[in-house]
Amino acid sequence: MANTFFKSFAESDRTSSRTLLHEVIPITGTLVSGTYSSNNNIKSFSHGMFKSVYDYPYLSSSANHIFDVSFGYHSTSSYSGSTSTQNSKKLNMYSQMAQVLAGFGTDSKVRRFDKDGDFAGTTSAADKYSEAWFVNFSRLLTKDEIKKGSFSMNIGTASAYATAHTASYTLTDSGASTNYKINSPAGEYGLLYTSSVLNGTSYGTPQGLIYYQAGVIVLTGSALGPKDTTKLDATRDLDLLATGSIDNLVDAFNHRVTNIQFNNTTELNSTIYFCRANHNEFNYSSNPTYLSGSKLVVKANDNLTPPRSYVTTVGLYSADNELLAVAKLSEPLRKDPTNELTLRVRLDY
Amino acid sequence: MAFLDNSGDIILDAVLTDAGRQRMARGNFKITKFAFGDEEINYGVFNSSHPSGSAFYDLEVMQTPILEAFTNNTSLMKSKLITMSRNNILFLPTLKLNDNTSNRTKTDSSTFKGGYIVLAEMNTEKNGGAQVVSPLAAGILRGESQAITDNTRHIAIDQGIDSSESGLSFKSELSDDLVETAFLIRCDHRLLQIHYVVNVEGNPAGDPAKTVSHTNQFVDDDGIASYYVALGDGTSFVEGKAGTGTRNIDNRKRSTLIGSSDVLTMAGINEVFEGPLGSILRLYPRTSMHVRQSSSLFDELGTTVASGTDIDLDGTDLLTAYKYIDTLINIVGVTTGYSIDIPIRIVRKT
Repeated sequence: MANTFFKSFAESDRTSSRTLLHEVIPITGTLVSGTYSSNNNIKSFSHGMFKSVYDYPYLSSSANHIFDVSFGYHSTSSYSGSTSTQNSKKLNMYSQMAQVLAGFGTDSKVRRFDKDGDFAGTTSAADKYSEAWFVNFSRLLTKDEIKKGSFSMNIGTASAYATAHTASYTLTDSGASTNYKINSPAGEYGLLYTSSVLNGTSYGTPQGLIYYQAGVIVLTGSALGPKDTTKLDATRDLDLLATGSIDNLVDAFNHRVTNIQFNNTTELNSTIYFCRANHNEFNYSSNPTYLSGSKLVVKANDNLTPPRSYVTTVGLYSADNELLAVAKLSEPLRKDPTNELTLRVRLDY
Repeated sequence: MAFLDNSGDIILDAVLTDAGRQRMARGNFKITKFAFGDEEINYGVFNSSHPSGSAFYDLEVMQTPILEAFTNNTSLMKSKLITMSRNNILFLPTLKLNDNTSNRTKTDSSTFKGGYIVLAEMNTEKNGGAQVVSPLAAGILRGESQAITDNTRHIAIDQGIDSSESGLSFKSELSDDLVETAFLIRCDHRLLQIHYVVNVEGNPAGDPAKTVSHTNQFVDDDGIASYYVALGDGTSFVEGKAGTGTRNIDNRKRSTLIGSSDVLTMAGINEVFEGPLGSILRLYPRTSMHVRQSSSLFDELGTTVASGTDIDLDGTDLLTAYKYIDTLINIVGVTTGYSIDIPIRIVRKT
């Protein structure tokens, strides 16, 4: 056995594992509606295609971008027309999101968002979302993905804009942890339902889609209420999906959002190194205080006394002796010829 | 860098070092081996005569608070645990700078006591004149010239047992399992490169005639170069233990030392250990191209001396106005893990 301070890992000394970490992400309605901090946490852009929501006034370096909201419709929508406000931008927005999230059909055309996610059977407007709200969450919030079955979103549904939150319903992806779709080019997705009743109409059918890895919510254009019964204010009337600008429509949407909550997921891939010290290994030290005049201080002048040392640190090295990772114990561990140690060092990536 | 909470179970606080993250970015991150360290431990508090008995000998050692892991790869694992095949070792060899007064490896004794002065480039070696100053005073090394002059002046690190107890003597042989046969050398790559000597034909085994540079293993993210040198690796860095070392480059008399009946003193044979002698590491530090061609690093890292602290180059020539950078060369013995830092002052004439 060579006298050395390095010991090579055998194949059996390392293993890998995968762990999913979840965090609860609560987003209050005051952030979304912009009532927090004098509206300065909602950022609009000169292109007018979406608005960004921050958790703090966006001019501050402390502000974190949390999500974007936009609206778009398909060319088959009844709202689409040459006289519609920002018609091409609404079409482009829908088309862009659809080609990324729903993909292309066998005819190489962009598929419309499908209500039940099967892209089969009927191609009628009743089975598609031709108008859609898009909520694109920042990766800061969703991390690797939104946890399936954890999403909920409260929306105020009272007809008057000023008192929109006196009635509400909740959209959830309940059941999605065991029942989700995998036929999207953007990864797994689920359906959003409400169990509540809005203006006397029960919403037993899906109201939107949630793309877990992409971190995007797609809601039907009528998710805030049937267009003919829910009146907002003069500039934010959902009747005005055609005549309102995207910014105004987004304001209307944001105003009605009470709360959003979900769990995010971080996928931790770990390599675990088992650092094994056999009984006859690592019993001496190169610590300068280990010797007094070249004599081992732990032996008390008796060469038959077993040597001993104390582990405080584990260093992980490359083949050419560069220190790549280090682990510290919380207290010294005694090592002598009568014991063996296995220290488990986990590196997360 | 706080202390770790040691009130509960033993935990491991693991981090990637800056070098590890750099390798990950480059795509050559691969861990192949490990070592144990004990740098917080002061074995001096081990009390083998504790009145309460042997269970209390290491009471204070076990109460040592442990620092959090931090990420600078060169600041960690300074002392390591080592594996020895036998348990009956009472004496371990250490490393010492050979500063014997009568040999060629003496340290500086005037402006940089205990260390070595390396002249940055030819103009400094000439002290502004036409010819290089020669021979240089003890403790002053050439930084650019590769021809061997000044009596092969260099740095020698000796290994041996620093005790004459129990009949230990430099005339007795050091056990093979304690002899260093390889060393790790670390130095600032911006400032220095490490050379060894060869003869006129470039053979490391012949009479020293010039120095040649050695290739480093890698340069880490902090600019620290690591060199691995071993006995029999085709260089002249490492000489074997007494009885096998034959170079006799500075009158060590090692080839005839073991079992000698002559009356010898350590100073008389240019040794620094009273006990059995291990191997010798000989270094010829030379300056980097950056240091030779520019004074920018001296402005950034160094100190300027206008006058008043002259360096006597050879007993006649005085270097009066100069800039200097103080740095270290770290040596680690691969067998015993013993580590030593050598102070270096790089001087450039202004």
